[in-house]
Amino acid sequence: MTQFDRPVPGSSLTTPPKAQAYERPPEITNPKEALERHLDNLDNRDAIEDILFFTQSGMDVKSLNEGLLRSAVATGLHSIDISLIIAPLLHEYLVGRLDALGADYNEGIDNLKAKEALRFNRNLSIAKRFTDNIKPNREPIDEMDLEKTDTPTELMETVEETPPPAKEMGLMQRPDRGVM
Amino acid sequence: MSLDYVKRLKELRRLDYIEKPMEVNDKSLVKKPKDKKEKDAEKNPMQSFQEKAFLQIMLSNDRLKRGQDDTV
Repeated sequence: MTQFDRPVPGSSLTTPPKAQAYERPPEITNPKEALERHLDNLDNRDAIEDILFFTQSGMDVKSLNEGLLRSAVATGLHSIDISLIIAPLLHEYLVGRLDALGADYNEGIDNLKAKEALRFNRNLSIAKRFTDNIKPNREPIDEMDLEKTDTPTELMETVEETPPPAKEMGLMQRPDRGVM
Repeated sequence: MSLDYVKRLKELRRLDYIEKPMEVNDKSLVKKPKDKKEKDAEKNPMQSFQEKAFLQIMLSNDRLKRGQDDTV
């Protein structure tokens, strides 16, 4: 989500009040009834096929469940509070159906990427500590001390091979172009 | 009771809220079984609803799974 990918302040005042379903009182206020409604909606072949398709496509059960509940809130079926209460129950229901179908799915509970990142950072800090301990020479290096500078031998050889400088010339003297 | 969806799901899956059968001591009159109302008073109604519904869903899932495994 970018900085500007959100409603402009005051945009909610541009539509008539209570025009949206979520601005009105919800249809169901009892969590038991809300759960029953969700289970009824999910208890058919098409819904199960959709769930199976989405989970096989890589969507985790948690995201799927949150999507179901959010759409119910957006359509004014129940409030967010009811969503919070019935979310784990609906999740378990979906997991049970997927288990019964023998589907391979990701629950989305244990965030593997976050765990891997945490493990990587821990290993990195351990490695840093380790390398700090094995530094052999901790004497401060005097950068101006020429004796301690190590010139590579290859460079030394190339320096020796360079031709001797040309004869010294006066400022106004023309360079010798050879005999015409 | 956690409001976080994942935390609450893990809490419910632990099943530590299931009531164990009470040991009724018939011989002694001093040790009476704890009053059930006291236990229920600690939980809020939403929590107890969640626990009961979760158990029912788990049972139905189990039944469904067994039905799949059964060979005729």
